[in-house]
Amino acid sequence: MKDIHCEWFKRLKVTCSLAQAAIESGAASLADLDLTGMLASADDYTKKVAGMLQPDFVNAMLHPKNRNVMLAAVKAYGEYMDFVLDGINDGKKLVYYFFEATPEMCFAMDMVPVCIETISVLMASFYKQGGEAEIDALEAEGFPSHLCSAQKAFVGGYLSKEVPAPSYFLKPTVPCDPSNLLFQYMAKLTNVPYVLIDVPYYSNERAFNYYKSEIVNAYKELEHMSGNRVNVKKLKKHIDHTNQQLDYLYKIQELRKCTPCPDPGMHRAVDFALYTLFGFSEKVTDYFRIIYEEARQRAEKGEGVIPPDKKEIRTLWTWAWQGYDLSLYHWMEEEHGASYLECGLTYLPADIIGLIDNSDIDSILDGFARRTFNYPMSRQTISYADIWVNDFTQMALSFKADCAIFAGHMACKHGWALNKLLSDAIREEANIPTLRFEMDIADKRFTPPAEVKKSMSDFFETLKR
Amino acid sequence: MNTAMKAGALKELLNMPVRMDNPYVQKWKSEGKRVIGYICTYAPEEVIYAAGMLPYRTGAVGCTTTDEADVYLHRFHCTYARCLLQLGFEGEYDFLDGFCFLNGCEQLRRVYDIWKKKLNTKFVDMLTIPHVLSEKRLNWYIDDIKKFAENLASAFAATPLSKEKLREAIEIYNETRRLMGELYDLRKAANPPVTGSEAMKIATAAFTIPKPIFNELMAQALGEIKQRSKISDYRARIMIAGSFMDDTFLIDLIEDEGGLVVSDNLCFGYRHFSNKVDDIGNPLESVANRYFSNNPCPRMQGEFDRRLAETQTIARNAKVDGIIFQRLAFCDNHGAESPMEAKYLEEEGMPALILEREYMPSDSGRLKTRIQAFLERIERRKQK
Repeated sequence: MKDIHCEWFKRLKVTCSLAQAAIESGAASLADLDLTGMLASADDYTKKVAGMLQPDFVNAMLHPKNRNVMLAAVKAYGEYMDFVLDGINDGKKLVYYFFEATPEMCFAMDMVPVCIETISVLMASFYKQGGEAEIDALEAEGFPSHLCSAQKAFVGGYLSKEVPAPSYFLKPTVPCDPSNLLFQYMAKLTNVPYVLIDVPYYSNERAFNYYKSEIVNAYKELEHMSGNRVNVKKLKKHIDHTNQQLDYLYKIQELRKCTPCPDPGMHRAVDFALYTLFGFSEKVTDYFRIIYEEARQRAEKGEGVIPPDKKEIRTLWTWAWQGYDLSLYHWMEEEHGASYLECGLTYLPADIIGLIDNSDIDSILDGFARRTFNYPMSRQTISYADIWVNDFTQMALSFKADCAIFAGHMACKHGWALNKLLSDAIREEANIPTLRFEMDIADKRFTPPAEVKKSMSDFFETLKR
Repeated sequence: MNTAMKAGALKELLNMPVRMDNPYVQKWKSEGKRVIGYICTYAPEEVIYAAGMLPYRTGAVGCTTTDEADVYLHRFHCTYARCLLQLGFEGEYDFLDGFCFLNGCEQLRRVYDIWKKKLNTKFVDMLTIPHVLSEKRLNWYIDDIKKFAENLASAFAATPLSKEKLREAIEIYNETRRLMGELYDLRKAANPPVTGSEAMKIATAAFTIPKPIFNELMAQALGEIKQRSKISDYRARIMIAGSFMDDTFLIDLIEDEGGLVVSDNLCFGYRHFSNKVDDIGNPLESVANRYFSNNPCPRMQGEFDRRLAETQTIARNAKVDGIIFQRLAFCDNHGAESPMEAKYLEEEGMPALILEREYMPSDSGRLKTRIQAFLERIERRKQK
């Protein structure tokens, strides 16, 4: 590896390898895991990374209901981290993109796309100390704490020399001001071109046509600046992967409507990491396929993901999940019989997005535009409140939710401004209550895991009465 | 009585009541004419005025609690957004016949959704502007202005927007810009005849009353201002930048400590009044082009260097000794912009202070301490 700051990417790669080894060891819990034996021949860096991992996360990952899917996830993400590290080492152009931009075009242009929100959230998910020091490094420059940790951690990571400068930034102007401003700051810091996709207000044909032309122009700009042309044959191969992944994802969404819900909640935050890699490889497809197959098998047998002695509480997460404690969802299921149906960060409306027509470059770009126009956080924030309110009111009914949970990331001002309208509509239409709690999606210091669990326990106990 | 002939125009501008306490708004309403609120400096006032309606910039001065607004908004929202909604709930904006919201920032654009569902303003519409500047994107804004104008006319069975009426409005609004520009020029003097606090009060009047009346009063007031004794007993020349600000609380604190606010880069000040509409060709497109291309708000992406240059130019022209970036707590755009601008300004030797504050006057002890320290820093720098 050349002298480029890649500590975070290396750490994530090693973490994926460690997780793979832990799951493949057959251990079903942290207590079962022979960590000493597993690390006996490991190098010092691997041992150091092992010591950084969150024990609760490892424990939840090893649980029989989660382990196969998590194995597929770490294999896919580990492969991707190799791709990133090799690409940087080979001098390929690195593109930092906001998660609503789409990576397939970059793959087809022989560039290395990295979604900075995914990296920030994975740091928070995996490690006892995620991006806290890096967030502090950014805030020490005068930036306020109410900006989004999904960017703050990464920008702080750059300031702390833990991630390298990219060749380009790619940013749609949705969903929020904090992400726009922090991408802009990083572009200024690194003096790197900042390719913008202007996202209009409204969700109608006029807006869609404008948006599609913005996407077309953004990739033309990337091609022009980099000299890297889109390899259409390669692009079609990636789109084939994407379509398979989307197809599974839609089927999984449908399966979660079953009672009891057959799909563990921990996977939703992992879905996010993997759908920001749509089209990358067969291993990403394997991830979605395994979730689908396991959920289908459970559904066919009428099994859920909660202990048999629990009565299911079906929770609809009307906004985000919290990303710094992925064991929360396992805990909800085990302690309270609370399943996780859907959320604002993983809901993709199949009837609107569909699959991408792989006929030619225009149809592919049309598909990208349609997908990202209706992506999580785009769909909810692109226009009036009604889209969000209607989507989740309908979901409350179709998923037969018992309650809603508004996990409000403090930086999402657009979300917090709707939480009352949303919870009122859900109560009115579906006759279910909403728990709301404040959190920071990638910084556990804001609302520590124990505090989240306390709020949820109180809420679930009330529901049980 | 013709306002232009009335004595004490300056006094009147400095004491102009807001909302329905304003006699000019009362008179306008009593004549059966409409008042349309607007929330952001990217709303083209000329288009509303040309429709025979009074554009009224919706501040929230006088708000003392956000109890009702906080049912819908949250502590993570800036207190301007919350105060504005609160005043809506309290009936302070019942005099509005319509409200033009913009997607200026995440928080205010969501107030639209709540206002439309929970308050009874007859016409509530959204006018949108891209986040990136280019000719193609300007066309989106032009189309949206046309749509807004059609919606406005349709809501009140008014005659469609005419080029002639729009040209008249451009002339009136350009005159306001010229007069306000003259006021800013007077403030550039080594011994200005007007304080920053007074300038803010005059701006409030400009946003509140019909522009033809404002222009008459202002023309006379400028004559009065020029006759005044000049201010020389100040410690430092200060420029204000940052979040939305429409009251004098912070400026008063600065000036009470001996600073003199001689200019600003605020959307309620210089940024709103600078740059006239060049009426060449289609007047609606000319209006749109002026608003779209004007000194950009931080919500405009890819324009940081231009914004920084604009701040530097204003500071240089007004010969300021230091810049105070005041940012409302939870204002994302200025929250992120202020440390960036401050960093580059400090690197070139311009003292810059970032002050976080709430919209409602509060926390004066802390703010005073920070301001005192900043003024002392500037004085020490001057002594070197």
